[in-house]
Amino acid sequence: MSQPAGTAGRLPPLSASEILDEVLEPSPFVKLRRRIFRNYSFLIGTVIILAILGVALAAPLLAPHDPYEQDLSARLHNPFWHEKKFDEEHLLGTDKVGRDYLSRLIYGSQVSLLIGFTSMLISGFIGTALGVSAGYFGGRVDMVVNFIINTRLAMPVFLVAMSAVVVFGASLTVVILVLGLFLWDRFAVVMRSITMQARDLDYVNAARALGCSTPYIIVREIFPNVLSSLTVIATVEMANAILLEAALSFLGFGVQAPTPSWGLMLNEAREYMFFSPWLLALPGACLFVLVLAINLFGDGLRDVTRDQGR
Amino acid sequence: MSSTVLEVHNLRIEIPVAAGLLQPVRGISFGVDKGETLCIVGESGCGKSLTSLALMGLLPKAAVRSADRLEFRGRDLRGLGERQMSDIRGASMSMIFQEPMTSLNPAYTIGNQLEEAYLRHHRGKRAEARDRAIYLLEKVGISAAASRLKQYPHQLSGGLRQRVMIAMALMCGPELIIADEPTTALDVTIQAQILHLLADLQREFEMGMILITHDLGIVARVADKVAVMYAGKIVEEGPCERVFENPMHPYTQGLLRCIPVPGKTRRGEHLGSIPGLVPNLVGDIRGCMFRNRCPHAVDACLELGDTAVSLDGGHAYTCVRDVETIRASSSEPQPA
Amino acid sequence: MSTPEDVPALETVDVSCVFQVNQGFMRGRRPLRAVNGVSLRVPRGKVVGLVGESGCGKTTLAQILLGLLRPTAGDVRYDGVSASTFGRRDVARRIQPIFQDPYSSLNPTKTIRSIVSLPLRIHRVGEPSEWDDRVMQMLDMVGLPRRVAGSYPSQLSGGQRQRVAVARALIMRPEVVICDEPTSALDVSVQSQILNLLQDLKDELGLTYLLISHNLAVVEHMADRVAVMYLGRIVEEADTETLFSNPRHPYTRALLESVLTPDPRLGVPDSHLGTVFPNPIDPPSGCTFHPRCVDCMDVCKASAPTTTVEAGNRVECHLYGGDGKSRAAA
Repeated sequence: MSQPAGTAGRLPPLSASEILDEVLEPSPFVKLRRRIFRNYSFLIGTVIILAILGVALAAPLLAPHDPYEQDLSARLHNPFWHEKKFDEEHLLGTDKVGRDYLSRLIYGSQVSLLIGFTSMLISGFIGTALGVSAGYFGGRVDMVVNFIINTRLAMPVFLVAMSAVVVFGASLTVVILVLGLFLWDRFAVVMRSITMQARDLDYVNAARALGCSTPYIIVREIFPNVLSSLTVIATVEMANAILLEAALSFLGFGVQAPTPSWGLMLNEAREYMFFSPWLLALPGACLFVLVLAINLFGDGLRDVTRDQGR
Repeated sequence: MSSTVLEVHNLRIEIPVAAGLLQPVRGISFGVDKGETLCIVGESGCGKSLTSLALMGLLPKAAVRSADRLEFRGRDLRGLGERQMSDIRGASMSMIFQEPMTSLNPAYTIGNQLEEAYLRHHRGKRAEARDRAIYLLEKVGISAAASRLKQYPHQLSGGLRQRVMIAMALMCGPELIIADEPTTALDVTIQAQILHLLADLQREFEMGMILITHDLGIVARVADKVAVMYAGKIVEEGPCERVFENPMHPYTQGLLRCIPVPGKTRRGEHLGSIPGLVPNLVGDIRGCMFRNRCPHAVDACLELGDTAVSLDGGHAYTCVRDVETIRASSSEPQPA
Repeated sequence: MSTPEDVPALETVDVSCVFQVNQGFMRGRRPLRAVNGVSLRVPRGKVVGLVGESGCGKTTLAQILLGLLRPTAGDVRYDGVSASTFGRRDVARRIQPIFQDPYSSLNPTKTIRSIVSLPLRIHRVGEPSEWDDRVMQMLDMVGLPRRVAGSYPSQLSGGQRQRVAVARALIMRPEVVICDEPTSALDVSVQSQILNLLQDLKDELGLTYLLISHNLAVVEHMADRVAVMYLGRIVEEADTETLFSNPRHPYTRALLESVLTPDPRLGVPDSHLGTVFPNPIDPPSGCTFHPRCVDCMDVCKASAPTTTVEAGNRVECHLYGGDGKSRAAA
């Protein structure tokens, strides 16, 4: 058998008999980068999220109008694809009190992202703390945490959220707090089981045998290894929070008028469903794209970080 | 004589991967006779487990199997479809895996699984299958066999589970058993028992057996024939006693020097070792696969690496170095 | 007072460890004696092998010795001083483990440098500026090239990972290293490299090893003394030559018979041990080994044997010593 010289020389030269130690594998980060650029759902998700984030941050620059500015003379103007009752001032038309719909949509992204992100942070913190401690300590701690999780799961989020709004009044802060304090169950359940697996691995035993303190082991040894799963749940919960906010706002128990929230815009557009369907379609589409992007991102992230480590 | 059960010629396995074409098995040939035990020995990554899966037609989807000849009892296995292969599998060719816990279904009783194995290939009564299950459980040394039939896999210890696996492999009276590291997950005492049992049963039922292992101790005690695999190729093969008493390939010699043997290797003294790593098996490799780790490597190994040398009695190895030179230089580092 | 040479680096005095095991819903808890009155001396500079089947309590004993588990009874002594007077960190400086599986014993998210220097950081040894030098020295010592310091465990082979684990265990220069099956997850050719390395390091650094293994050939090659453990008790302990040439306990004999040396003429041995490893929650009466013993006598079922010491070697079996025979005669 004769091969071209280029493909043949995969073995090191004969003289190097002391090559005990070829590092063959590329580093985990190089591999991660390679996988990222092969994973289209991750890439697409990331691009859309970054775009929406950019729009939210640059809202004052991008929005052509003040989202709160009413102009009763220009009510229910049609968006650009309609021939009549369209003016160049309002590219996507106006709502029932003549506010510029494009501007409201742009500012609405701020509300959605703000609520999604902060309530995800709050619930992530609560859930991770509970789950990791239950998984690491086991025994009684685990029993107590499980009881708390079950209690939480027995409560209907929606009803509790609505009654909380009734008691404390509706505001952005209340919505964020309610969602943050209620959506931690998945964090806790998943973190608990992952931590349980990680706790029995020998590197944790090695760290214990070195005399590392328990907080050190949890934070420095276990946490980095559960981080990728944590991010995946975080994306799911963020999407979940955004949808719940929209639903609450739609029902009138969430963000209150005149704040531009996509859910609230859906609510306000209800009565015009048949005459001006775009009033519903546009915020709906925005919600759809954002949540889809977050889920694509989370799914891709899970694939990208899978079997890392070994 | 037509006692040959399995005949394999130039078996290759190729798996396309991102970096190119991974070739974990690079053209190996061997045969198993009735009542004979062939041990394939090698370290992790040498392709021995993939070989067994290839014979059973159980390779992962991406892997491509090719062979010049692949005959089981004179029947060509190469063109067989999944249906025909699964008729052979379990009936006349069965496999014993390393981890009995994962190969028994935890949701069914032992009896259920044993009977199913029989009924899948024989149109018979359940009572018949049950009788055979009890007979075989007693054969593999499980006491109170009838009551064990009602137990679930998790109720048995590792050694018992492996015995059940063996009984299951025997349910249809196979002519060839492929055992992939059957005792690696077990304790030494249980390991000896299981191997003893396998050897007994094989003699009694006159089956051919391919035993795949990394443990040279097991090979020496069980095998009739040995094939030493390295990086997807068989580097040395022959009758067990000849290979162990007169190992010819530097890799075989190196392996034998690596293991401590009570009474032979002296305490506090260094064991032999094989420095270096197995070559990357992607793409073609010119010359001898072992040359980068071989203490006797010369330039000729690059050009003529695959030269096969046959000795009498079926003992063969692939090495270009002169027998006398190798033996002279390899006897030096060995403790007297 | 005894001379320093007489004081073993590590010693257990009648150590027991009992776990309460749940028997399932509404069935209460029952004690499982994982370690049952073990006295073991690991003399300084020696290698003591601990052999036994899985489930015999070897790993539990190792965890007790490492201070990861508190014994329910008995005393662990480091250099003759009771462990209760030491803090976790003091124990960690004296005694370090090497685990079986080099794939799970290294944190996959850390670099080799960070893994090996962890002990220095935890114990704040020396100046942080010296840490890197010490890591490099350690890598040299275990035969790894310095450039792996920036790599992650997933980039190394099994043998290389085990070398990293050795480097981490030794960077604090502990007196005692507990090697829990250090080579059983490795390939044959790599196993010998790690054994050679452990031997060299022991000579170079004057280490003491407790070598836990089920591979008797490895134990014979490495150990000065061997202790055989069965169901939480040490049933025989002797120096290696004596134990391998003249095993006394029937269990030791069965274990030795099961060793498969690469000798093609010997065939597969039959160790005559029954198939069933007893349930440790419900151990057999009398001598716990009697259901599997070929030399089982009536007295074995009735009463537990006591330890017979002869020339420093001890065995716990009714076949030896006076008590069994006298009782059988009575």
